[in-house]
Amino acid sequence: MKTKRMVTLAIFVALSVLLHWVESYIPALLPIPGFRLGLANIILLFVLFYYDGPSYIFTMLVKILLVAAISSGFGVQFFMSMGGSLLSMLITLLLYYVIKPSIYATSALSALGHTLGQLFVYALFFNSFYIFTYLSVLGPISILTGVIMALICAILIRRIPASFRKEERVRR
Amino acid sequence: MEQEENKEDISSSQDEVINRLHFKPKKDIPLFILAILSIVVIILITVFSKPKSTNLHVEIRYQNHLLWDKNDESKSTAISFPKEGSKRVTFDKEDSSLFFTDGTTFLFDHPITFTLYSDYSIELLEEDVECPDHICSHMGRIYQTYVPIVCLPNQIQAMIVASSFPETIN
Repeated sequence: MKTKRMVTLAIFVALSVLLHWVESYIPALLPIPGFRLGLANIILLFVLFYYDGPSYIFTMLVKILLVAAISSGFGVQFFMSMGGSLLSMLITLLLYYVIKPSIYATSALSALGHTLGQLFVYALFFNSFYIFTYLSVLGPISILTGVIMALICAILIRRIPASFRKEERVRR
Repeated sequence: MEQEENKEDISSSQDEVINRLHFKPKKDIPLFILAILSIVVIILITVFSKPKSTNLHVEIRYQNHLLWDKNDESKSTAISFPKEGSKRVTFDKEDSSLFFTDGTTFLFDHPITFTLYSDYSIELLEEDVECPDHICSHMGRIYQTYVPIVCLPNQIQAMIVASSFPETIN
């Protein structure tokens, strides 16, 4: 990994951890437990579309570990976050490299995958699978927030042209 | 020479990235339909697998252990609703009567109290739980079966269940 890439990715990791912290203040406005906007997903999608798959995996894993180390700890929340992230990562990479839809469908399905992964870990942990009824609330919301985050990410990608990435490649 | 090749490579990959920013109905719409269908299927499976019974009680779990109410002499993990008004069920560290159904002891830093009402609803009041986010108490009063009140930091959940054979400790 090039030094410049490493530094840039470190900044993206820091940004995603920051966004994760910021959005923890948002659910208080909405009476939906378990609901998160997924602002950090903007950064992750940006890394995937701007760089490549390995950079995306690296940023995501480091982000999960950092969030756990800083705030939520290595308890149930860590495993739920890990389960959600791994499923969403699988879906995102599959869509990005194999099916190749637009960023909107990629983001929406990866958000849904995140919710499903979390609920699955929850169900295993508490040994009660009826939690999946809660998908009636979280499922549509995660698709909607996924599309919104993709819209924001698309604006970002359009605003920051390839010159950012070009320099790094040309000087190889 | 190599630099020019690189530039071409970048512009083509950039085009692909920009191309992905446009909505592609042919590929996107089936994927969205697939997502919605999978939500519907999972919900239907869960809803139809729910036991149908009018015998309602409350199950409280710490991790995957069922807990029982210390005030109930039958030591049933199926905690019954009060006939009138409300009933409070407390779990705390000091209480020696609190054991799991499998005999292990309860390790709880802060006491937690669930309120059960005679109209078959449960609630976790904000002052009855100590946790950083209070998502659990913001859920309010729950009337539906199998909808858990969850306190993730304390790893506890409570939900109304319907069954004809409640589990008891001998």
